[in-house]
Amino acid sequence: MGCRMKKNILLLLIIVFTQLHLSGLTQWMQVSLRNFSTNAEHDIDIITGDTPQAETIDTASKGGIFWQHEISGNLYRNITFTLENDLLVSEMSHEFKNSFFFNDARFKFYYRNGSQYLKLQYANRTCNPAATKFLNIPDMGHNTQQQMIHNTALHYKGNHGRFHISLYGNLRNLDYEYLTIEEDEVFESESAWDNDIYSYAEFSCNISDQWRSFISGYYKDDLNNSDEFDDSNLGIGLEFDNRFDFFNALKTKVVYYNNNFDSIDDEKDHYFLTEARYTKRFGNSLTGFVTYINRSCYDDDQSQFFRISNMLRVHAKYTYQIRNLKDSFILTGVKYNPENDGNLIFGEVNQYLLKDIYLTAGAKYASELFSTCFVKCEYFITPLRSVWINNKFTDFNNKPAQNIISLGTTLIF
Amino acid sequence: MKRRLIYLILLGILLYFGCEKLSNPEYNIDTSACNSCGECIQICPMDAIEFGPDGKAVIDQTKCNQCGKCITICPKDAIH
Ligand code: SF4
Ligand code: SF4
Repeated sequence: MGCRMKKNILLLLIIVFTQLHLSGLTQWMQVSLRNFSTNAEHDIDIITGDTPQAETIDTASKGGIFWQHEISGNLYRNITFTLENDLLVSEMSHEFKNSFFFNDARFKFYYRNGSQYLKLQYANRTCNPAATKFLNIPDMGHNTQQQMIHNTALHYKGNHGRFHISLYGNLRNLDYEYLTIEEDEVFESESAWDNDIYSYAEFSCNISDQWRSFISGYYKDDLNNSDEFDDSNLGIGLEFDNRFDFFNALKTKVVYYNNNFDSIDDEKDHYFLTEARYTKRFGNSLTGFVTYINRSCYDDDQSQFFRISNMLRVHAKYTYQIRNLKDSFILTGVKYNPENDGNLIFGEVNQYLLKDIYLTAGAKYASELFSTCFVKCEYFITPLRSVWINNKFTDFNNKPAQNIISLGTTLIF
Repeated sequence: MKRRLIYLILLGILLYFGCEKLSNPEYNIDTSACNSCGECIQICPMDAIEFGPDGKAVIDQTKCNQCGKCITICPKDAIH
């Protein structure tokens, strides 16, 4: 295990176990043992390691453990915090993953005082190089291994009567290994950093109870490269948000962005975003919504509008039994997204079986991408503690199918 | 409200049929569907995805190479 990884996990363990004895904290924890299997017929060769080397992964099933932990509480008066941590330790397999041993930690601090809101966040992902793939980046003609990501963000929101302001800044550092494969299979690798600063500002005004207008500015500075991957835009938009009555609500947004970047298609300089979401209730049991998102652009040179993507989602949920722990429901929907081959149909059912035991099953079919189904059986030992077993099978269109069985426990305390 | 909905549907039809499709796809996140699970962030080979101000995933289009891995992994089908 890498030294940095060990330090990170140790730090987290210290935080978790010292906080366990403090009062006023809410903790959510989920730990699961997972077993991965595939119907792949051939072993695969991947490159991993501190000193890059080729490794052959066989098709036998593999095991692992996934631990998720979240602690939140009050630090001082208006200051609250949340610590989130995801740790995955598993054997290398055919699974669709970049790293099989990583720790993802997020530390968030919030300050809320009437109309003022401030959030400070530090996030870190540390991957153990021994279990992290070198990924082939076709356009760049090389392989990279993401080893550590730091992300520090600050977000301020303030309301001043009808006027609102939102300011956001984010500094990201990616520590990666860069690999050139020589013909005689001697791997040459070098460490590199990718640093980016993102900033965003939005000023908005409530024109009425339902209507809001806003202007925004976004700027990304790629600190490594000259100006090639810099990006900025100015936006102006109008939003309508109204709950007409208990049964009907509509939220729509139209925004125009003036983009300024070199690395993206010139046609997208004038960019239009249209979003609409209509929510409908039919009594207490049946609810549904329709979401439509369109992205289009106008190219000055060709004097022509272009369609970037359309996404229409229709979703309905029928709740037929209301229980303390989990409602029993049937949920179904379709997503229409032809430009990204993202058309899909999905359904899910949650059913109370007996004695605090629930069964959830679902399926999804995306004709261009994959089909997947899962079954989960959960037993609530107490309302805040449960044990469960979950089986998820996914058949991808362009790669072997995979099956993941997880046996886990969820605890809230 | 019905009239507003009809306008919206007409606008959608106009935007859909009225213009030619751009050759390169572009992936974005439907923030109303995203549950902030972070799976897309962990799979992206270009480190192009991070959480934005509202805690929902955002794609940096200058980094994205349109590999489509994120759309396949998202449990909420929020990527389009
Ligand atoms: S995988 Fe989907 S739901 Fe999860 S953070 Fe990404 S966009 Fe959101
Ligand atoms: S399409 Fe590929 S590169 Fe782009 S955001 Fe998704 S996973 Fe990352």
